[in-house]
Amino acid sequence: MTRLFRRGELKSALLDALDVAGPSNGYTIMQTLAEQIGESWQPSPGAVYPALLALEDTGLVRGADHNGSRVYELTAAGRQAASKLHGTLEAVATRARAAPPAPSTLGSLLDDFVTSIDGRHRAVDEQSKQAIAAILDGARNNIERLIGKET
Amino acid sequence: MDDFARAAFREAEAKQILRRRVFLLHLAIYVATNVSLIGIWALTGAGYPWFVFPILGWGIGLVAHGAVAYLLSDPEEIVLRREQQRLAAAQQDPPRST
Repeated sequence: MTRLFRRGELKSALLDALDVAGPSNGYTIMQTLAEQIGESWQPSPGAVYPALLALEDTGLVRGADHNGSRVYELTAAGRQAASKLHGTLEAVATRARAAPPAPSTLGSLLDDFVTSIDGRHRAVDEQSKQAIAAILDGARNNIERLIGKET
Repeated sequence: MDDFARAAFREAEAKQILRRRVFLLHLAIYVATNVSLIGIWALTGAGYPWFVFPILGWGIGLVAHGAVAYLLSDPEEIVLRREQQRLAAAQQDPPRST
């Protein structure tokens, strides 16, 4: 899979997104990026957060804790930079639309599902174990039925 | 630290664990293959020790892979680790109100 963002472009896109959305927390910024770029690219905190930290370091973005969540906003220098970078998101979105969608396999979908579950190393009691096993059995049967129909 | 930061740290940690597991799998295949080669060498008369060539040649690749898994990090990971250390230090030594 090719990288959607060119070198340094994610930071430019973040400045553009903050300019569009105004002061926002990390998840809202990711949502803005996802909405602008489309479904072909799924932003992740692991990529966006370091980029925000780097922008904070360079003084283009200011972060402040607000109700247990960190809210980021453009500084004056950031606004100036964003005005020059206006259109970055649109350019990335155009490129994303032109790129062929990445093929998904059942394995990749299951991996995404497993990694998305919070606290997956937590021990569960017998009752919960049986309930979870029943849910997973049902899901497996449905998936196998669906795949069976497709092939 | 908010949920977003926690999710980013978790993601970096998962990436690192995966990278290290892939290396350990590589190491296991390296050991199993080369032990088999030594076995073949021993069973076929223990002549010229030709098995050292795959051990050394593949060994270079294995060491490089180990360096990537344990010593090198993505720029994102470096930034996240630095931030994690900064947050831990700030928690241990909170700024005093005067």
